[in-house]
Amino acid sequence: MDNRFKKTLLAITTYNQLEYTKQCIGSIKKLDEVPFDIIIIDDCSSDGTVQWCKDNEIQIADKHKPMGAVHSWNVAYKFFKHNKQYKYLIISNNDVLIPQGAILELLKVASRWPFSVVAPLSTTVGAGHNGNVQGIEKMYQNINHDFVNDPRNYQAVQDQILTIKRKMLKSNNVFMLDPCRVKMFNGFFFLMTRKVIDYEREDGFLFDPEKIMYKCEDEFNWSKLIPHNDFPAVCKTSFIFHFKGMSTKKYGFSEVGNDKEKWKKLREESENDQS
Amino acid sequence: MDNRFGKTLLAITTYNQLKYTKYCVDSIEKLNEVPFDLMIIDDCSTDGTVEWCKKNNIEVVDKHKPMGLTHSWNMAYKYFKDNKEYEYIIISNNDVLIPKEAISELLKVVNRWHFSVVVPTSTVYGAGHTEMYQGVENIYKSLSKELPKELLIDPNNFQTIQDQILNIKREAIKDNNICGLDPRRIKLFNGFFFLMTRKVIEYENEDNTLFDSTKPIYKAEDEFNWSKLIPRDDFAAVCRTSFIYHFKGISTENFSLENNTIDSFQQKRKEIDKING
Repeated sequence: MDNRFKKTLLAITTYNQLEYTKQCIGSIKKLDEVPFDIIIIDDCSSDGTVQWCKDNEIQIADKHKPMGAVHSWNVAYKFFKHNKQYKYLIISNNDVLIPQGAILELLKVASRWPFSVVAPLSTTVGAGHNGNVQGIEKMYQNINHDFVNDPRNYQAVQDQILTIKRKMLKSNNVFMLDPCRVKMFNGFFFLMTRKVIDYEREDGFLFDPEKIMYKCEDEFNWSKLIPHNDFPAVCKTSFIFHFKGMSTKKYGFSEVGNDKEKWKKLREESENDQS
Repeated sequence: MDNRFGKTLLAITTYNQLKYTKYCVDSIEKLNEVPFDLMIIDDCSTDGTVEWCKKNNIEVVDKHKPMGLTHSWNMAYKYFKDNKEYEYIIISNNDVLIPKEAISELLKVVNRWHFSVVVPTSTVYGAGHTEMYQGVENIYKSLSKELPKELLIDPNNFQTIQDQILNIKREAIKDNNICGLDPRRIKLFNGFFFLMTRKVIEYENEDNTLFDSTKPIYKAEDEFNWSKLIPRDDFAAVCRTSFIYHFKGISTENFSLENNTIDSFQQKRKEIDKING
């Protein structure tokens, strides 16, 4: 356990897809490199996500009615803001696998460099619209594509990156793995420091409450959320496996954008379907 | 005058080439954006450099016998270390032209990014062996914002080049594209001009020098490998929005050493000073 870093709050947003949440929690249970607490923010799942969390003694915040992913992000942010023991907040989708070492690498970057938001690498597919910057295949050209795209290898991929980093350190070339600031990033997983509290819109709202899902590239343009001289950065030595689209794929949620009416209609349809 | 930043010590090393020292000091006299003191460290020039400095009320440190460039760097470093009013030190050759804003851009980077050593860009020619990282042509080409070649070959344009870079920066801020102009850490840099913070004091050698005093001239790439001087996780960084015109090679013209040792250096100096008369 590396105690240089203060406590991190790891907030996972969920809406159904309990199978993925279980896999995600499975990966989190193996993490022991830095101190953190986990909280699940559920947007009214109908598949027993809340019950499962309670049965497994996982801290969970549930809602009376569905309010969308952005609302969940704001709930996580508010909890982070009011619990000052947390120095870092990670907001994550539930369809990810987190290897040992990935969070530590993000924390190292967030404490060494003047960034208030740091995002990891994923596969090019997992990083979606930001694959050119966050895609591990683009960053490490010699890495085997089939290998990184197999979720079972999520820990081995992170281990490989750290081996490369050690080699770079030894040959005095580690500057090639320095983080780079980016204008946008894929929001499946990102770490923030308490500095972001300076940027909130009103008490407890960091993200635009008018929006339901941050989905389009345009909305991930962080410069809309915080001042332009404080862009997020990509940490090139942290890898998160992202199945991608699991939380939004079914019932056409990925087509919703920020159309509130359409989103409500789809939610109703999917609830009826399941009951 | 931007008073956000503490005082800078600007130390210029000289050995003859008074003509270039005059150009350089001319450019410095126009600077007014940040507080700094100027100091010249002379390595036994024979062309009246010291007298000229005294006549023009420029603080000058001279030596009894030639000790090489590294010795001058260490003298500048010691003066900086002992005078705590200085938050930053710039060590510079005398064959440079410093435009307005170049120093404040370096200061902004060093403050915002927590680096202990920051270097500017120059022309590809002026940046010598590290032109890939410090050459302004290469940097701005990769950002698709090419600076005209005609502009870069003429030293008279040194201020215009800096102004154009700042225009590109303003545009980039407006378009939300400033990330491309972020500083980059590097393993080596060309030592014609570099800024350090007081943090480097932690890295000094046992004999209270910062630079290896057995080497009279830091010249070869290998010796500019900053990672040999300071711990490897605290590399120097290039500030991409600061430009210094560097004539290059003026202070070391016809001055190659067989071995980078004090003896070989002093032997060579004797020969040169004899020729100069």
